[in-house]
Amino acid sequence: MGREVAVSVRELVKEYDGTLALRGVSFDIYKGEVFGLLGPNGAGKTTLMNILAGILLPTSGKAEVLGHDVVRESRAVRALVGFCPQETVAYEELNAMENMMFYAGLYGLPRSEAKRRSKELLEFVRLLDVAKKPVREFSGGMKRRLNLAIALINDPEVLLLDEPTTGLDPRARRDAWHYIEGLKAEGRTILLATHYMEEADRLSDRVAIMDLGRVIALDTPEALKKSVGELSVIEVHVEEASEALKEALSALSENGKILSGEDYVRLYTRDPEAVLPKAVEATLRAGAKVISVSVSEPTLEDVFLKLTGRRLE
Amino acid sequence: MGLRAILAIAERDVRSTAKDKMALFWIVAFPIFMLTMSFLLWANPMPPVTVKVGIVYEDTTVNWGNLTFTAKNITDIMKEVYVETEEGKVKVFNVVEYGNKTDEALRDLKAGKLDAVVVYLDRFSVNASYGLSAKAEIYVRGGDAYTEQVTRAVLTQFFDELSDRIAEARIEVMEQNFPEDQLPPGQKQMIVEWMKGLAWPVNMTIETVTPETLMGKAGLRGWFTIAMTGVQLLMSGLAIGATMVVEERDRKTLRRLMAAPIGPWDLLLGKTLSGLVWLGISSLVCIGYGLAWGARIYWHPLENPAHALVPVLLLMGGLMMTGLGLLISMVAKTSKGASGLATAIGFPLMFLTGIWMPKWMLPRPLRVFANCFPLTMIVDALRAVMVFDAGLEAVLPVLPWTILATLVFYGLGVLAYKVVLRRSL
Repeated sequence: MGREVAVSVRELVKEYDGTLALRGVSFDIYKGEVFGLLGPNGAGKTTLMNILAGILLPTSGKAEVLGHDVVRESRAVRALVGFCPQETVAYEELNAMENMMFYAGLYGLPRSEAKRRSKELLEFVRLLDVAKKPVREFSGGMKRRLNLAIALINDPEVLLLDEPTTGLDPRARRDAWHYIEGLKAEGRTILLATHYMEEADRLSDRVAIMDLGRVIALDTPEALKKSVGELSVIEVHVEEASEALKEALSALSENGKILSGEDYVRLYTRDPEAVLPKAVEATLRAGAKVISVSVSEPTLEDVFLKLTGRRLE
Repeated sequence: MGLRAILAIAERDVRSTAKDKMALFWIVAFPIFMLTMSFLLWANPMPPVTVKVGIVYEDTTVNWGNLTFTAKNITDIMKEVYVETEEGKVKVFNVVEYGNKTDEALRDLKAGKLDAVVVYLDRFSVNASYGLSAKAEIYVRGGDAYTEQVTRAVLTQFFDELSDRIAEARIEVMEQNFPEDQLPPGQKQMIVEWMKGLAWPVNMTIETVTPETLMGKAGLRGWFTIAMTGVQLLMSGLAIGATMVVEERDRKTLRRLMAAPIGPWDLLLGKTLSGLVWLGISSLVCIGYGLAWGARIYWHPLENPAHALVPVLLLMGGLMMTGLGLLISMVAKTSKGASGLATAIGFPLMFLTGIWMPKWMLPRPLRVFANCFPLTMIVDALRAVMVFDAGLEAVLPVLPWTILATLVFYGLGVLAYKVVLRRSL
């Protein structure tokens, strides 16, 4: 295709005290692309991020960022990459500007340049007005925005975002998505690790689904969803999804697979028009109070269920 | 290594510490509090001793009216003996007269109500006045070696002095009454000298000489000021080293720091630099506060080259204790634990190494330990130079050993740091 590769990962393995966190992961991320890493906790996303950020050494395999080997040219890689971990990296007793200046110093920025860039970035994440306020007074969303600004202090071509919206309320999450879309528009290459399927679906050009240290699927979100097949999803919302209800709806679902939560059950079918009335009837027979019933296309969560037989949590 | 990154780390650390009330307490308030206590409680010269003496007159001639010296006269003199101190005059004797009741006086001595009993034996006054040997008995309370020695010394000194005065007076009287015309020329002077020889076969004088710097409060305050500087190097140095990596790990900032293009040395040097800045500030607080209280501290590096080595000694002390703190961090799980462990180790060392308490107060085995402890050597050298105004002779002998100890302690600390850093990522 002739697209330029920004990040290349080949057969990456990481072992911690006899446990394999990564079991031979391989993929390429193209320049200017948002690449989603979707998987449950413990899938190996953060380990992979740490290796690409130059913090951890792989046990075997190879990874390159912008042509630099993450092991042999670790310092060069760290200078080119912007890393935004899931924890707050700002020092809470300092104010936002002091934090920005500190991180700018770590990247060797001269003072005047550091000041200019810090102001620009604080403005970008809408924190310039509170730049002199101690970070301890910030809300969770503000702290995440500051994390993002810090990750951009070295004007990185490649940005590693590790669970950037975990723990945020829906509004703050939408805010964060807005900033990530802005960065994508600037042409930056972004590796986005998340366990939120809507996030991966909405922001990523391509998504790698990880489970137990392996990439089990990699494609565009649309292609992945299509891989579930020509199935439609019927989602039944109830007050309480009992075991009897799950059993009854499972009998109507393709291959007997369903996805359920405390107040919903999702079943899969090739003929939604025929199955829908049966599903409603089965729900009522199971004694559940129906709140809503909808028919939709599969999500990435359905893809994960199909591939692993488990929910994405 | 990137100088800009090292300075950024140091500056951030200094700023964070400046906003941490607990850290400021240990760096600024703690030495001020300790020095104030020390200046008020301990930095005073030992007060002179007042001896409580019971006087008994078994002397039946004590009330004869025409005598030159009587036991009563001596008692009156005793009551007027003072010693000059910075606080004013202090009585040397607290006199209690018992008449002729020797048993009662000795009973009180045994009961601990008196330090000594002086019994003037019969005919003391008349013998003293007429040139014969006047006899008295002195009973000193035993049991406490220190009090016994002091009481014995004070009374001996008093009666020696009294004897001298009586001898001088007797010789003077005899000299005045010599039949000068019946003696060959110069014979009278020879006889007088011979009589002086009889009275004082060994003519000895005793003078007390105290080192100038330890005279009075100023010197003692200087001693405690440098002691407190040493304590700060010990306690804060240990805490700085112990929490260096663990604190960043607890804050969850360590991974982000190491994702920047810096190496482990940048972080170590930046953090060490910040620690040294605070140790320097703490030392200045100690010395400044000591000077404000009138402590005697010398600092003239242009005249005394040993004074130019003071910053070097402080730097070595700081690095040494930071290294020891880094070793402590190997067994600490959290920054609170690391800080607690540093205090738990530093606090006894403060007393056991002769940094805060004088070494002579320590039991012999601990004195050996204190003499070998490199930070004690540094503090002793600082005291010698800054309080006693000693020259290079006080610093140069300990310099090789303290340089070696600094390299070993900090070197081991660096190894520990690398282990802790690897474990923390």
